[in-house]
Formats: sequence, C-alpha cells, structure tokens
Amino acid sequence: MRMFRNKLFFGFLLVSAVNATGAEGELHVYSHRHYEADQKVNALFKEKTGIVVKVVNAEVNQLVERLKSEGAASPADVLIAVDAGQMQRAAADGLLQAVSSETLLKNTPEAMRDAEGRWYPFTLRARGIVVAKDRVKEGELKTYEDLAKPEWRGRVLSRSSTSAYNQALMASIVVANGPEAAEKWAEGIVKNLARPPQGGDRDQIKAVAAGLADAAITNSYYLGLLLNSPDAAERKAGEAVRMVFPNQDGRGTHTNVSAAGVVKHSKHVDAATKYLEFLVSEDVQRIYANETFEHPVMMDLSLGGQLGKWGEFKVDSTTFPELGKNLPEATRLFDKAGWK
Amino acid sequence: MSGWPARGVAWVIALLVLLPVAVVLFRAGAPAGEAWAAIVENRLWGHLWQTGLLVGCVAVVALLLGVPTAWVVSVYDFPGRNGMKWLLLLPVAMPGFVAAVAYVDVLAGLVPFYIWVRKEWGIEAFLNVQVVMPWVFAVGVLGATLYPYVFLSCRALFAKQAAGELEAARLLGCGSAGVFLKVALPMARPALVAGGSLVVMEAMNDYGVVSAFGLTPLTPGIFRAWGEGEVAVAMRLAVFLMLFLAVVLAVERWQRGRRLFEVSGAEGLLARRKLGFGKGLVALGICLVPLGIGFLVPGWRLAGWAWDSRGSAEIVGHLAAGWNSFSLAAGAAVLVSVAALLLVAGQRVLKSKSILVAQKIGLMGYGFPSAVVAVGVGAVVVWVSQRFPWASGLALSASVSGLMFAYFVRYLAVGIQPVAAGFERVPSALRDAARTLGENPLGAVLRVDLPLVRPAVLAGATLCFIDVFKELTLTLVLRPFDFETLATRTYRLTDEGRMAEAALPGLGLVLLCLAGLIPLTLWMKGDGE
Repeated sequence: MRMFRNKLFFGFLLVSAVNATGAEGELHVYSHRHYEADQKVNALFKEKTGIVVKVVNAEVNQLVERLKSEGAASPADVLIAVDAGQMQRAAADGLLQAVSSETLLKNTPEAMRDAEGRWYPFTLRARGIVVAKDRVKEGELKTYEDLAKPEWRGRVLSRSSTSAYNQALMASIVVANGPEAAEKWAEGIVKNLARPPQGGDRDQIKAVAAGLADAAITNSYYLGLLLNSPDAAERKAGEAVRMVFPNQDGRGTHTNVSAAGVVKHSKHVDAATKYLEFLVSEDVQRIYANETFEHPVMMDLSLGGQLGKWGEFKVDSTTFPELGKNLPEATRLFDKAGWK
Repeated sequence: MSGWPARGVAWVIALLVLLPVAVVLFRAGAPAGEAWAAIVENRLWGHLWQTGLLVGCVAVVALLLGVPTAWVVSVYDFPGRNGMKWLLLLPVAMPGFVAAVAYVDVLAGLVPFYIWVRKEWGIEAFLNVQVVMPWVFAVGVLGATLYPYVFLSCRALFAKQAAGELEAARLLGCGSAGVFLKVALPMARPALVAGGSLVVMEAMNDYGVVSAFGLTPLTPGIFRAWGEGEVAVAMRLAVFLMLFLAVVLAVERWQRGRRLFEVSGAEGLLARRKLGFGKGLVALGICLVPLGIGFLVPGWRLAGWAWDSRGSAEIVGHLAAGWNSFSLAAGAAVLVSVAALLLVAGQRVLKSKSILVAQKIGLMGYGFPSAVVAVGVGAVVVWVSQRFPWASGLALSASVSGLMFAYFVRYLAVGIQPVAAGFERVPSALRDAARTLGENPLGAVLRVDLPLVRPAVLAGATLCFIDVFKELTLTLVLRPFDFETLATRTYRLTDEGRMAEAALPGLGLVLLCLAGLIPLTLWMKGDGE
C-alpha cells in the first residue's frame, strides 16, 4: 500500500513535469491579462503565422515568482503585465532579455518603453476620474490633488490600495510631489471616501451613477466597457458619469501600460519578437481600441469611436520611468494613511 | 515481531503533520526587517481586532441559529419537523464562499439605503453604516453556513443523552421555557462549547467570505503578505493566528473542565410534545430562518443564475475545474485513508504506545489553521525546489504535490477518527478467536478487522473527499499556476464581480458535496440505530 501511495505521489509530480515542457510551433505566454479580446488576438496570430499561443494566466507577482523558480528550465517565451512598474522590476531582476526591431521602435512611444528594449508597451491605460454629470460641474475637478481637498468629504470613491492600478498611481504621486505630500494626499483621500474601499473600478463607476458619491478614481476603459455593455443598466450607469483626465495643466494624467517582454531563457526568441511586433500592429491596436477600450499605444484615436469621443489628453510621461522603483514606498504610504 | 517499520512509518506520518507548523515557528524567528515594523505599525492591530470580532460574532450567530433549532426539532412535534431534522444539516454542503456569491450583489445593491441614511441622518451615519453592513453580511453568511456544527452537537444531547433529565423537569411541573433555560441550556454547555469551537475554527480559517465582503482578519492578512513575497511577515502573522487558536482551545478546555456534566447513562428518547397550529408555525419559522439564509436563498439564486448562464463559453473551464477538484479530492482521500489505516491498524497489531502518540499527532492537523498549513507547506516546497533544482518544474512552490501534502496534514484526522471508531466496534473476542485458531496478530487484523471496518474506512474517505472538494483556502495559495478547482473558480469569478458565472461551478460543488453527504448520513444513521 505504501508503494501504491508513492506511485500516486510521483504520478502527480510527473503530470506537472509534462505540462512544463514546450513544443515547436508554440509560444508560451505568461500573462496577467485575461480578456476575450486577448483570445481573439492570439487566434489572429495563429492565423497569420501558424504559431499557437499558449497562455498561462495569473497575477504578475506569481508569474514573476514562477519565472524565478523555473530559471533556465522555464517554458515561458513572453511575459505580459498590466503595469509598467512590474515590468521594470522583472527587467531589473534579470528575467527579460533585450530585443530590438524597427517595428517595435517605430510603433511604441520612446517615453513609455524600456530604454534597453527589455519590454515594450502595447496598450495605454489612463487612470482618470469619473464624476457625476449632474452633481459636478465642468472644470470643478481638475487634478488628483483636488480630490483630497476638504470640500470632497464623503464624496469620493476608490478601490482598495492593494490594487496595482492604485499603487502605480500612488508611485507617480510620490515621484511628482515627494513622499510627504503623497502621504498627505492619501490621508486626504481616505478622509473623503464615501465608503471603505471595496469592489473593482466598475463598481466605483456604478456607485457614482447610483448617487453614492460624486467622483471615483478609475481607469478610463472601464467606463468604455460600461458604455458599450450588452446590459442596459450598465449603459445607463455609464451615461450618468463624465470622464475627467486629470492634471492636464501640469504633468498630465497618470497612464500605465500593458506591456510585453521576451523572457530571458526563451527558446523561441524570433517567434516571441514577432509576437511583440504583432501586438503593436494596426490590426491588433484596432481590436483593443474597440473591444477593451484601452488607448492605442501611439494614441491614434482614429482607431476607436469611444476613444475619439473622450478626445486627446496629456499623458504623464515624466514620472513613468520611476514607477517600479517607488512601488514599495507607495504601498507603505497607503498603509500608513490607512487606505485599506 | 519488533514492528519497527510500522513504528517508523507512523512517525514519518506524524512528523509530516507537524512539519508545516514547525517551519512556521522556525521561519517566524528569522529577521523580517522593516517590512515587519511597517506591519506592526499599520496593519497588525487591525488584523487582530478583526479576527476577534469576526469569530466572536460568528460564534454568537451560529449559537443563536443552532441551539433553538436543535431544541424545537428535539422536543416538539410540528408540521415539517421530520424533514427539518435533516434539512437543517444542508448548509454543511454549502461552503461559505459559495453562499457569499448570492449575497455580494445584495450588499452592493444597498446604495439607495445608504443614500437615504445620508439624507436623513447626515454624513457620519452614512459613513458608519457602510462600515457596519459588510460585517453584517460576512457574519451572517458564516453563521448561517456553520450553525450545523452547533445544531448537531445540541440535537444529539437534547434528543438522547439528556432526555431523562428533560422529561423529569417536565414531570416536576417546569414549563417549556423553564425546561429550556434552567435544564437544557446548562446541560448543553459542553455541546455548545464543542460545536461553538468548531465554528470558531472554521471562521478563523475562512478566506472566501471575508474577502468577498472586504474584511481583513488574520487569514487574508497572511495571504497578502505571502503573495507580496514577505515570507517572514507571513510566518509571524501565522504565529499570531496560532496564538489565537491556542486561546480558543484554552477557553474550550476551561469551559469543559470546570463543570463536568454527568449525563444519565441510559439514553432515552424524549417524548416529543405536539404543538398546535400557531406554535407549530413559529417552530417551523425558527427552522426556516437558518435554512433559508444558509441554503435555500443562496441555492435558489445560484440555480437561477446557473440556468441563465447554461450556454456560456465558460462551461469547458468549469468541467476542467471539476475534474481537477475530483482528482485532488480522490487522491487526498486515498492517501488519507491509507495513512489512517496504517496508524490505527498498526497500533492495533503492535499495541504500541508510540504509534498511539503518532496517531494523536495525526489528529492535531485538523486543528491547525489553514493559513498556517498553507504558508508552512509553501515554504517547504519552495525550499525543496531551491535545494534540488532538478526538481524545479516538478516541485514548484505551487505544485500539486505540495497541495496534496497540505490536504494530508489538514484532513488526516478526518480519516483517522472513523477508522479508529470502526476498530473500536470490532469485538476483541473475534480477534482472540482468530488468534486461537492460529492467525498471527497481523493476519487477524487483515482477515478479521479489515473486512469489518471497511465501511468506516469508506466513511472516512468520503468525508475527506468532501472536505478537499470544497476546500478553498489551502488551494488558493498552493495550487499550480493556471490550475483551477471548482472552489477557486467560484471564488475568482465572484472576486471579478461575475456572480452569474460563478453560480454554476459553485452549485456544482454544492451538489457533489450533497451527493457524498446524503448516503453517508443515511449510512451513519443506519449504523447508529
């Protein structure tokens, strides 16, 4: 019986071993993204190149830990995260390799890619503010800093500080205003919250539409998703609010990226590079602009109708390269300010 | 026969059970630097008071739901009583995180109520009521899914063990309320404490419900630290959770030890008093409240959503997750049953004290908090994969082998208890007869005991299967990447706000648990009478 138990045990080990090996004509992507649009993009890639994209989905932290523990044995070819800071840290940990191609250099903004070519962005994700159309006048709220002022007491919503989107926003504020001012800002927001942080960005928008609060920090594409939802109630909620891209007279709106990099120990570097180039091609950019409502990486607003309605805005590219370095400080300050 | 191989195996099993906790204690002593200082400054106190408040409130709610229901089905006859006696156990098959799916959107829908509060009572009331409501929901869901532990222990006491005393009190002219308050409740104290401490332990282990409603007691705190790579912080928080458990166990011992209630030896059956129509309705209502909150309402809502999402593309993923749940649960059930048999039968054959100690250690695993086992096992597997690089890919921090190890530690007790009880019931005369007829001790166990305890082994395996099948906390931390069980899938979809899609895997989980529990309950009932 003991032998039987051992067999079973090693049987399980073997199953995980078999899963870990890759095959030719396949590209292994470790990705934090899990949208239907991504599946569509990967199907299109297979159609064009014959290469099958196999995706492992998990939180980027877990993916990075996995890359570290797998080392040279890793089957992964490409790492995708939805946060520049995480890509910067993965690159600093030596998990990614530099690749260069004219397409990538031409189709991505210099300010928002890795200087050494270890990762490239493929969508932009603006973290703005939605306000209730009927309760907040045009121009009443202009900056992130405004949200922390006393006149917004009990009127603001945000998701939890454990969200990578909030951490990156906080990191950008640390870079722009310094740690002390950033902590004050977080304390001000906590005082102004209309409820303890709960739910995702979509829930914040819906709650503003329902009258719980007047403003919410949210990524713009969530509003796009609501406005174009098959659910009438969601569309109605989207119609009740207005998108504000903050800090237009200053550093610009905090904008993060979806980014991809070729894994250090990838055995399919050419195919992986081709995949990165494919992600910034016009076809793929159009899919994202119209289905996930993220901004095209080169801000070509003609690609998607919803984006055109919001119009152009200034992106904060000055704090961008420092995000990764300041993430730990951002989390610490959130905790200190009591932002749950 | 010296039997040292059996002793060796028994102690390997015992040490495996102790390993995760030992790792946690050992690693908690490692320097944790600034990260720990920041946790102490900002989060620790919150984790502690939230844990205390949560388990306290959940225990009170579980007692409020479990005791009156046990009382009315034990001492009264009313329409629906026979059904209720069993239906009230149904929430056992409804894990809290599945029930939570049906309530998360109710909480989210309270916005108009909050706005009304702001209009009527001002902004402070508005802010406070929003802090309180998630607690009401989390405590309600946990209480309504965990009360069956209290219900079971009290029902057994009221209906059988204490029947004579209750009958005597009645004959001496004590009214119903008097019998309940003056005789039944004091007598039920050990049962209350036993059921209540199980409820408290489950509430401490919960991750799914508290995170669905945004509370942050110790368990989610440990997972957060672990997820952020702050291993030493996670270990230290885990030690705090163990301290909490120690306090709970100490209170339990103290409560039981101070007053030992001698229950009359002869178990009788209480003559149930027939209730009139009006009072019968009240009794039925008392039963319907916990059954409704803990099973009917969530079951109904989930069934509706599941029906609506029947054509969705997620079904392939649900099936894969279902298969994963099934394989894990089956694997764990086999491992646990084999180990339980070795421990119990080994002790039987060798009459060895040291194997008995090993067996007792095996029983302890069930009491270890899930979060502690999770990070302990996680650290072991990380260590193995770093120490033996050839095994990386095999023994990843989140691999199936680590998961099996964790299940083994937590649920070995679930296998040992019925097997040990099964062996107890085999009359020693049978074995003696076999020995007289020339069997050696091993032969007697194999050919006499084993066939007789087979149903008990099966019962243990089924219980273990169900426990693993609905397990969320360990699985979330230790599962391989891109590997979902019905439990983690239900949790993830709820977390993403996709309640309608979470319904189907959640419901599948409940139905499979029921499919395992119903025959088991019937079998145990048949066995008991």
